This record gives sequence, C-alpha cells and structure tokens, in this order.
Amino acid sequence: MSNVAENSENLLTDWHQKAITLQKNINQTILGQEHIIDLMVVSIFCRGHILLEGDVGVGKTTLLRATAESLGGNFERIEGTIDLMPHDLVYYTHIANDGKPAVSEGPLLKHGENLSIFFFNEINRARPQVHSLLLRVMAERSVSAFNKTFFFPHLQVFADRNRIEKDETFELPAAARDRFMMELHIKQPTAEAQLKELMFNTRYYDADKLIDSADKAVLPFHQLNDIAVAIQSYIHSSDTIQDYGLHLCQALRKPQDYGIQISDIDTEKLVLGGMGPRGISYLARSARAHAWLNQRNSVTPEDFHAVIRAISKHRIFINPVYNYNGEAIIEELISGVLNTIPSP
Amino acid sequence: MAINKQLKQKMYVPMFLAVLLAVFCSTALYADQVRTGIVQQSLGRDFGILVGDVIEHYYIVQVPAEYSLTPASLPPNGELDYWLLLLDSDYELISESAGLRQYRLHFTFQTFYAPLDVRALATPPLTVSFNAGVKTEQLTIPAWNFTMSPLKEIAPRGVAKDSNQNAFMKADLPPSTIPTRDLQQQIWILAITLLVLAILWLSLKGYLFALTRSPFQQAYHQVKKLRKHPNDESAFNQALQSVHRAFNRLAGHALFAHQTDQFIDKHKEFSGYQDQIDSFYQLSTEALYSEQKVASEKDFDQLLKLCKQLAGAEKLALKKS
Repeated sequence: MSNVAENSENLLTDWHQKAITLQKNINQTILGQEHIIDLMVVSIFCRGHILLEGDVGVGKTTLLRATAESLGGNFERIEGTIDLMPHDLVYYTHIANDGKPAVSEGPLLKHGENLSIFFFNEINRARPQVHSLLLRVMAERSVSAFNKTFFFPHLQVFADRNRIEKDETFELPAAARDRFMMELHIKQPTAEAQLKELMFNTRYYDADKLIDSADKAVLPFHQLNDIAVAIQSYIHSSDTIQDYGLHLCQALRKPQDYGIQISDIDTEKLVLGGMGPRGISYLARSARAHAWLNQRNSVTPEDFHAVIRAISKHRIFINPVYNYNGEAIIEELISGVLNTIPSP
Repeated sequence: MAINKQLKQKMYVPMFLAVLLAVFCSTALYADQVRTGIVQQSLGRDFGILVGDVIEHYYIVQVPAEYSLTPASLPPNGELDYWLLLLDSDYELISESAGLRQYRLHFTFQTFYAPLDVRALATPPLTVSFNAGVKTEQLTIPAWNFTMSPLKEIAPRGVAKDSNQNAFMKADLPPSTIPTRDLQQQIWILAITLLVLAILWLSLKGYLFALTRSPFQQAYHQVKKLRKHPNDESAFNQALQSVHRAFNRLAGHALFAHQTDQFIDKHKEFSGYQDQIDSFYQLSTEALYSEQKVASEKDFDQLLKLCKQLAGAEKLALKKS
C-alpha cells in the first residue's frame, strides 16, 4: 500500500471516530431518532443539505439545533414568515450608534466564509422569492450582494417544515426540494420507555438547556469538505454495485420497465419525473458515506437500502391523479423497487 | 308572272346571304363567349332515401378557358343543416380545349333525417367560384329535391300485441359464421406437433427437469457446471449469482445480506444453516462488491455444499408438510 493511501486510510479511521462521537452526541440530546440521526450524519459527510419534515412538536428544531451545535462553526438561524423577503437574509437597515442610518450584513453574510450551518426554520412559511435565493445558496454556496459575490464553502443548509399545517404556507418548488440531499420524515418515538422518558424526565423539558448540556463543536467543521472528498475517493464501488444502483434509479423513474406492480395503480402512468442526475449522484455519494460509517471499504446493496428513501422520496413526482395518496404510493413504489431489483 | 318570278328569285339570293351572315356572326360570337354552366350531372335516385344514406352528386361544369376553379370556394365539409352533412367536396379538371375548360365536381352528402312518413327535402344550393385574374365568375349548383322514406312503420304491430318495447326493434340479424370445420383438424395437428416439439426441446435442454427441481437443486447443478472453469473469474461470479437467484426465488423477492434474519424467520427449515447462509453472503460481498476475493475450488465447494444442504432441508420440510 502506498504512503498516500495509508495516510488517507488513517485519516478516515480518525474521522470515523469523530463521526461516531458526533452521532453519540446528538443521540444523547435527542431521544428515539437514531435512524434519522444516522442519515443526518451521512448527509453531513456528503456535504448535502437536509430538510426535516414532521408533525408539530416532534423535535425537528431541537434536532437541527443539536446537530448544528455539535458540528460547530458559525451558525445562523432564520424563521420563515410570510413577510420575509430575500434581502432580509442578506442585509438589514438600522440606526447606528452615531444616530445615522446604516446597512449591516444579514444572517447569510455576517460570518463570511466561516458560516457553517444556516438553519431555516419553517421554510414553507417563506415566500417563493426567498426559496429562489435559497436555490442559489444551496446549489452554488454563494450569493451576490453589494456588487460582489460572497462564498460559503463550508455551508450546509438545514431546514424544517411542518407537514400538518398548510394555511399561509408556500409549497417548496421541485427545484428547491431537489437541492436538498435528503428529506427526512421525523415521527415521534413509538417505544413506550422512550415516550415515558420524554414525558417525565425533566431533562427534556427545557430544549435550550438540553442542547447546552451536550458537547459542542465535536468536529473541526472546516475540514469536512476535504473528508467528504476523501470518503468518496476511498470507498470502492464495484461494477456489480454500480449496475445495481443504476437499475434502482431507473426503476424508480420507469417502474413499468421492471415489471413493478402496485395494486390499483397503472405504473406506466405513475411517475412523471424524478431521480435526475443530481438525485442519482446524491444516492451514490450517500451510499459511499454510509458504507464508510459502517466501517466498510466498499458499497453494498445494504447501503443503498439504508439511504434510498431519504434521497428519492422527495424527488419522485407522480401523476396528480394519484396525489390523494401520494406518500403511501411512493413508499410502495420504493419498496417494490427494492424487492424487485436483484443484485447480483 | 315571269317578271314576278324573276324578281322573287333575285330577292331570295340576298336574303339567303343575310341569313348565312347572321348564322356565321352568331357562331363567332358564341365562340368568343363560352357560357359558364353545368353541362352534365349525375345525381342518383331522388326517392327512397333512408336515414344515414350517403348521397353522391357529380357535375360536369364548363367555364371559359381563362377561368380556373378557386379551391377555397368549394363548400367546407361539415353540417349544412341539422339533418344534412357534407362529407366531402372535390373537383378535377377533366378537359381543356381552345376556349373552354371542363371540371368535374363531386359532392358527398349524408342525411340524418328520420322521417315518420315520406318527406320531401332539398339540399341547399352551393356556389363555386372561378377566377381569371381579377375577374370572377360564380356558378351555383342548384338545390336538389328528393324524398326520404321512413325505416319503420308508424304504429308497429308489436305495440298492439304486447307491451314488450323490443317489438319496436327488428330482430337482430344472425351473425354470419365462417366455416372453420376444415381448419379445425389442421389446427389440432399443428398444436399437438408444436407441443411435442416444445416438450422435446425443454427436455433436451434440461429445463423440464429443472422445473421440477427446487431452486437450490437448480443452483447446485449450475454451480457444478461452472466449477469446471475455476480459473475463469466470471465463472465464480455466475455461480454466486445462481445461488442468489435461488434465495430470491424462495424468498419471493430480491434477498440481501441484511434481510437473512427475516428470511430464516419465514423459512424455519433453514434455521440450522444460518451461519452457512451468512458466510455465503459474506463471500458474495467480498467477491462482487469488495472485489478482493480470488475464487478457488474451495469456494465453489462451499457453494455446492450450501446448495446441497439447503435443498435437503427444503425437501425434508416438504415431506413433513
């Protein structure tokens, strides 16, 4: 083994420990969301943006805050409101100490290149103008303001939205949803012991205190980009697994070609679009990161199975005729694909 | 009298000349001004037309040679009346001689009028234009009068005899059958021959026996064949694939390493072989995904042993059930 390969293996082993620490740290704060936290860690090591969706009061915001605090770096948060405009993210005007009007940098620009996490709470309450600014920030990690371009190389966007309340909300456009690497659906824990813990343990009563109690900045966030690149080049994907991954994506786009049957659904007319080049690349990247987190040097079907729902669910656009039960149908489609496509 | 006769004869000559001149002049004038009009028509029967009938009208019209038909002036296809449809209208230049052009016009109508008694109707007049530079000539195809007849009697006897509403309707026509008696024998012979050939082909290829074998028995035979090429890298991959196929067939879906526990829960007959199944999946991962495995005869033997064990367990379970 060459020195470079050995160094990169050692580096990734060190970082694996750090990833486990990060995972444990978040798990100590948030109860009963181990699978979601696993996927969030995968996304962090792929440098992908995350959108959390769930019922009211299941801990979406707390989870994202805990993750942001554990990651370290400069963290900014904004609340999505109906009157929020794109410039509110970029600058704000105020009366300075000298009594004169002044323009200061807003949450996006305040920390310059050191911005690590931008947390957008209740994203679907913001207007499409704000979503479109976010499109660029997420895709290019840059924004133009004051006649120059600001870059955020370490930026990761975390957003959440409430899935129950639909009044005065703006559905995220398909392009914006596609830029989120994962859309994670948080459900409340089902285990009785965990629910009792959440109910009676005073530790969980105060979210601020809870987050403060956990370790902060357990990772050198500014090295994450390099580590993400190292993971992608170090984890091997054989021809067999490449074929498998590709067929999974194709079957999600054209289930009829793979003989996938869903009861009462005409699969030929079901899928309108989804799993484009960005989606399939995210799937491969997250499968590699998942393999690395599970201490494997190569991707296996298990890795695809672990991440495919979080990666593909929000990217599959079905015929509006089936929207009445869209979520369940997409879920059934993904299960059908996983059960039908063999490997090898 | 003789003088009178001579005088009369002298008078006849100029009169004859005058008549000749008049005839000549009128012919020359006629040659200059050809009259636009219908010269021939074929309209078909104008009685006994029934609802749904297609009526075809042909006209041969003539126009002065410098005029040509304006295609856009032909009436557009569609409804001419609530009961009359113009299905098609077309034209053809059939002759062109000095001073005269003849066109054949063809109109196809369909009538949907359903009369209760014989009813006189008429198609509307249609206009067709001919143009020569800025000059335009219009020709009107006159209305065509015809009578339509009813399909059924006004008071059907069926109504008076019984209250069955079907009495209004005529009985269905019996379907005309195509005689197939002669073909039946040929079809049977062909079908039996094909069946025999298919069975022969399946048995020669070994597929017939394969159908009766369990998935692991089939995999065993495939692996055994592939074991003869241990140095061929793809042979081991194919052997692994055969065993995977057997697992998939038995599970009813694509089965992966992380699902083996559920598989064994469903197929209790394999519970004694959990370790062997796990090591097969481990071997498959090393060979197919990590690509770090160089296959040896020992690995083929491991596959053969596993297939034999699982086929045996399956057979035993079948016997017990």
